Amino acid sequence: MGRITITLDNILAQRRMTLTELSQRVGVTVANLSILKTGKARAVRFTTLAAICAELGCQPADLLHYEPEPPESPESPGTE
Amino acid sequence: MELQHHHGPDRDRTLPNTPGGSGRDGGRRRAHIPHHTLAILLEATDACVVAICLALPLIVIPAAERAGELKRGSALLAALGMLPLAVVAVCAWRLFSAIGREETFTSGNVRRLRTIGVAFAVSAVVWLAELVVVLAATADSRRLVPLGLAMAFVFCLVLAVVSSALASLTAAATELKTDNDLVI
Repeated sequence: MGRITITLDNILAQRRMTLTELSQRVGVTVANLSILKTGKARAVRFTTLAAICAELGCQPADLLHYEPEPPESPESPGTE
Repeated sequence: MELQHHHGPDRDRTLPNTPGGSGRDGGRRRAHIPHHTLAILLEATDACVVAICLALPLIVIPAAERAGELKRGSALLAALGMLPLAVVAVCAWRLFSAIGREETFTSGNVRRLRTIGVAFAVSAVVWLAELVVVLAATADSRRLVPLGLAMAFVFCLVLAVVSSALASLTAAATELKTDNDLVI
């Protein structure tokens, strides 16, 4: 199973906003935003996602990306 | 609703106190007994305790009565004292079964834990009353010492079973809290 990644860094850079500024605007602590940014979060509430999108002027699809699980490398042919 | 950031098979089963931690979950992972196996172990322990609780008033004490070591009626007194502990054992069994089915946080389990608490309180009152009766009825206190030690042994076993149940519940609560802390 793949995983969901959150690309907050790119959008913050585009909007020239720091994580601290975003945390003050959306009402989420810097620590929690950092957890979100580094991919350690287990879940994101819709209210949090809506607040971030409202402040950054983006869509959830701009933030959330699905990375499929890398396929297993095929076994190298063994010697017979 | 929430969007789950699944970690797949890497679902963290450690017990970190800090949300997110250092990210190095692999180094802090501890051995985790599956719920079903844990429930079976706890139920087996519970069954042993029940067997001891039944053996004392049904086998050991009547034998001591027949041998003249204890006064007649001691088995009845012991049976009365074991009755609340039997209630504890039944509630604990149901609690462990629920934990085995991963139905940890349910109102049924809350009721069972409250029943266990009430049963222990009743047991304390019953044993206190029996202590007064036995002390008043017998002049020879030598035989009371082994009996008292046996009762203490049974109580410690029962408390061990209940503590195991509480430990399982707390572990599940900690896991839930950890997950909740990582919901942004």
